[in-house]
Amino acid sequence: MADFQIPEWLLQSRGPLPPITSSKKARRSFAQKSIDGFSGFLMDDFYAERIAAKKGLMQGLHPGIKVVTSLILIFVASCMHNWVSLLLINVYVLLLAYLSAVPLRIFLKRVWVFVPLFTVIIVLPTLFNVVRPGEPLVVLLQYGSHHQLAITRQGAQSMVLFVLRVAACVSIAVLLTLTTRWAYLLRGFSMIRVPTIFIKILEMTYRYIYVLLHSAGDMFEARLSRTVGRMSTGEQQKFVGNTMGSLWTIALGLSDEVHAAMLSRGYTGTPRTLTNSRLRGLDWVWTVFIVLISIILIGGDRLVW
Amino acid sequence: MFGEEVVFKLKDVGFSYPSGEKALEGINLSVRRGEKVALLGANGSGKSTLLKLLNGLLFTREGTIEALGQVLSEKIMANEEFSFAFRRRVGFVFQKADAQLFNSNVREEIAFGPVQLGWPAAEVNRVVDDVISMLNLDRLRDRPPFRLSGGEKRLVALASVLSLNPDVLLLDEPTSGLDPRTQRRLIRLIQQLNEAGKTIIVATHNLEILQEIADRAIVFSEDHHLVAEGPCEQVLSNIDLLVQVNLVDEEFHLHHPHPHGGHAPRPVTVPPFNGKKAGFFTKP
Amino acid sequence: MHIPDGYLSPSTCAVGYLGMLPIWAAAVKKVKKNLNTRLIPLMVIGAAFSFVLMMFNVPIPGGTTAHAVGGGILAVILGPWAATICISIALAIQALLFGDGGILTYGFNCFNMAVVIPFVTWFIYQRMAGKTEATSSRRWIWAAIGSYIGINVAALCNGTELGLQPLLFHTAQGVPLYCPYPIWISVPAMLLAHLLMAGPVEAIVTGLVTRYFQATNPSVIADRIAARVESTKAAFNKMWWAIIGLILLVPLGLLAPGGAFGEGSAEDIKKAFGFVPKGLAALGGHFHALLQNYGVPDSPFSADSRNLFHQSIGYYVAAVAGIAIIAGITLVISRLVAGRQGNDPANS
Repeated sequence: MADFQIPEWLLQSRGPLPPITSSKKARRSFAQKSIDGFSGFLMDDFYAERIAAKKGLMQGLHPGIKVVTSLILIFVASCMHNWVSLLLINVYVLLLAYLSAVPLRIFLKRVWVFVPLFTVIIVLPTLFNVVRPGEPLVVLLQYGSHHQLAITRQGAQSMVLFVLRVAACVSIAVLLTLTTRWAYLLRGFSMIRVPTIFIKILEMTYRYIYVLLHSAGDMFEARLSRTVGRMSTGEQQKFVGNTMGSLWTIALGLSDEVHAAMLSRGYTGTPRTLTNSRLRGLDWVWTVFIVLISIILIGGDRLVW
Repeated sequence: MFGEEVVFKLKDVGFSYPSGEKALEGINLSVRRGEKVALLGANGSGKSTLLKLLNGLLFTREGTIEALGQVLSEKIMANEEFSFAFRRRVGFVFQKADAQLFNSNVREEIAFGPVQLGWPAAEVNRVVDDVISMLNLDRLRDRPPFRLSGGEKRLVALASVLSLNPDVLLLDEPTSGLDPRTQRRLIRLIQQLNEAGKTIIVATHNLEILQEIADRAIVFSEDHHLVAEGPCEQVLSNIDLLVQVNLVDEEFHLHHPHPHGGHAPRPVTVPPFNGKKAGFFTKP
Repeated sequence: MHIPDGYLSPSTCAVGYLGMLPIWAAAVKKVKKNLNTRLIPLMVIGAAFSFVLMMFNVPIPGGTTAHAVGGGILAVILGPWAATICISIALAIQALLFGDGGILTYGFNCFNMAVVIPFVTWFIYQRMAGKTEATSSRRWIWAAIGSYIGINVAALCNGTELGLQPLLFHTAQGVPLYCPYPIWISVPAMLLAHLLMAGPVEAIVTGLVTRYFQATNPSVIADRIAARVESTKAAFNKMWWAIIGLILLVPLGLLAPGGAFGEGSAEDIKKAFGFVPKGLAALGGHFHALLQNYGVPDSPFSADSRNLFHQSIGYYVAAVAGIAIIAGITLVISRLVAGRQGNDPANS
C-alpha cells in the first residue's frame, strides 16, 4: 500500500501546554448544557424506574386504576375553591408518596422545583394593588393621602390558592409517574379508552427517544471535543441547526429500518398489544375510597370550610 | 523532541455514571509521548469512557488524570484558554462518525477546527487542501457527510481532527465496520502518523490488527478493571487472559501469523490492583 | 408555552380536549391514508425527534440559551398533519414523565404547539414558497418567517386561554381561582416574550435546519413526506376552514360551560349532593359563638371569611377526626396492597 503524503505542518509538534495567563472562565456552552440536559433525562428516568420497582401502596395498585384515580384527584384539585382543601390534598399526596416508599426529598424536589416555584414568581406581581386592585392587607408604602403600595387580600388569597393548586396537580402527576413503569402507565391509559394505536406509538417513541438522545449526546460531545476557539452566536446556532438536521437524517434512516423490521415480522398496519392484567378487589376498594375522598373534599370545599 | 515525556498519567482512576453504573475501577496507567497504545476489552468494559475521560469530556472524583502535565478537572477545563489549548493538542475520533460530522459538506467539516482558531482564510484553505489531498478525498470535497460510505465517513472524521494537527490522537474503534481495504489504509495512516511523532491511543476489540496499530496493549476486564498491560504479542499469546476478559473463546487463534519470535514469552507486567485478579497470568 | 395543570379551569380543559379530538382524528385519518404501514414508524421517529428537539439548547446572543418548540421545522419536513401527531405524542411524554405541561391542560397545550404552530408555518411557507425549487432561498426564509408568525399566533392563543380564566372563574370576593392575569395583561405579556425571545429562536431553528436540508438532502424538504400527506389540495383547504372554525369556536366554548360542575357554587353542590352536613354546621356555629365570647382575633381574610374562620375552628375538630380516619384507611389499604405484592410478584 502506498504511503500517505503527510504535509509538513502535520509533522510539527504543538509542544507543551502554554502556561495559563488568564482565568477567564468559558461560559457553560450550549453543547455542555444540552449534554447535561440529556443525562438529566436519563438519570430522572433511572430513578423513576428504581422507585417504581419498590414495594409500596401505589406500586401495588393496578395501573389502570392508578391512572383513573390520579385523574380524579387532579380534577378534584382543579375544582377546589378553598386553600384549605388544596393544602389537604397536598398533604394527602405526601402521605401517599411516603406509603409508596418514594424518598420525600426526591419527591419534593421533583414537585416544587420548577412548576410551583415558577408559578410563585409569575404571580408575585398580582400581590400588589398597583397590578391588581383589591382590599389592602399590608400597606408597604404610603404616598400622598390616596395613594399607597399595598399587598391586597385578594392578591394574597389568589396567590396561595393558585400555587397550592398547581403544586397539588403536579404532585399527583409526579406520584403517578414515579411509581409506575412507563409500559404499565401506558397500559393504564388504555383503560380510559385511549386508542391502542396511540399507546403503541407512545411505547415505541419512548424507546427511540433513548436512541436519538444518545445520538444527539454523541454529537454534542464530538462538538465539545473539537472546541478549540471562540465562535460567534451565529456560528453556534448554525451548528445546532446542522445537528438537528443530521439528527433527522439519522432518524429518517432509522424509521425506514424500523418499518422494514416491523413488516418482516408480520406487521400489517394494526398494532396489537398484550391485554391488561386483571383487576382485583383491592383495586376496587381503592377506587371507591378515592371517589369518597373526592366527594368529601368537594363537599367540604364548597360547604364546610 | 520530548523524549520520554509522559502524556497521560492515571492514578487509581474510577468512574461511575450518574445512574450508579460502574464504567472503570482502580485504573493506573501511563502513556508516553510517541507511543502507540491499544485499549483492549470486550464491549462495555469501559474503553470508550476512558477515552472520554482522557479528552476531558467526562470528569471523575475517583483518582486523578494528568494530561500533558496538568491534572484534568471540570474546573480547569472550564478555563477557556486551557481548554482551547488542550483540545488543539488532543484530538478524538469518535466511534460513530455520524456523531462527529455535522457540517453540510466535507470541506466545511475539515475546516471547522481551523476556522475556530481564527486563521486567515488562505491558511485554512491550505490546511484543508493538504488534508484532502493526503487522504485522497478530492472527489468527496463538496459532498454532504451523510451521503458518504461508512469508510469515507471514518476518513472524513479523522481528517476533521487531523486538520487541527493534534499531538495526541484518541481513536475509538477506528476499524469497526470497514471493508478490508479501507481498514488497511487506515492502519497505514495511523502508523505513519505515529512515525511522525503523534501519540496514538486506540480503543479496539479487533485482535487481528492489534500488533499493527499498537506497540503496547492494555487489557480491561468486563468488570472494568485494568487486568494486564504489555507488548501486543505477549497479550495475544496469553489466550487464558483473552478468554477471561471475554474477548475470545477457547477456540481462538489468529487467522494470520504474527511474529511470535523464538524467545520464550516474557512475563506480562501485571499492575497492582488489590491483587484481586493477579492469578490471570499464572498459566496452569 | 407549556401550560401546567392548575392554570386553567377544568371546564376550559374539557374544551381543549373537545377541540382536539376531531383534529387528532382527522390527522390520523389523513396520515394513515397516505402512509399506510409507514405511519407508525414515521410517527414514532418523528415524535422522538420532536421530543429531543425540545431538549436542545439553542445559543442566543448574550451567551445564554433557549429551547425551541420545533413545530415549524416539523411542519416543513413532515407536513402539518403529521407534525400535529408527532408533537402531540412528544407533549404527552413530557407531561406524563416530567410533569412538563399538565395532564388536564394537555388538550390546549396540543392545540397551541402541535396544531397552531405547524399549521400557520405550513400555510405561510406553502403560500409563499410552495412552488419554488427545493433549494431556493425563498424556502428557508419563508419557513423561518412562517414559524415566527406561527409561534406568535400560538402565544396569542395561549395568552387568550390564560387571560380568560380570571374573567370567568373567580370566587364571590373576586379572588381568581386559576391564572390570575386577565386577558389584557396575559396576551401582551405572552406576545412580548414570543415576539422578542421564543419567536426568533423558533425562526432561527426552522430556517437553519431547512437550509441544512437544502444543502445536504433537498429531498427531505421537497415535500416528499409532506406531499404524500397533503395529496389533495381541496381537502387541505376544507380542513383549513375547519381549523379556523375551531379557533373561533374555542373562546366561545369557554364561555358556555361556565357554570359547569367544577366551578359550581355551594348552591350547585347542594343541588348535586342534596345534603348539607347539618351536624357539622351546628357544631361550627356553636364554636363560632364560643370563640367570639373569648375574643379570638380576626383572621387576615375577608369579612365573609372572618365568620367562616371562626366557624371553621369548630370544623377543625371534626376535620381532624376525619383526616385521621382517612389516613387510617389509606394506611390499612397500603398494608393490604403491600401484602399482596409480597405474595404475587407478577403484579406490579
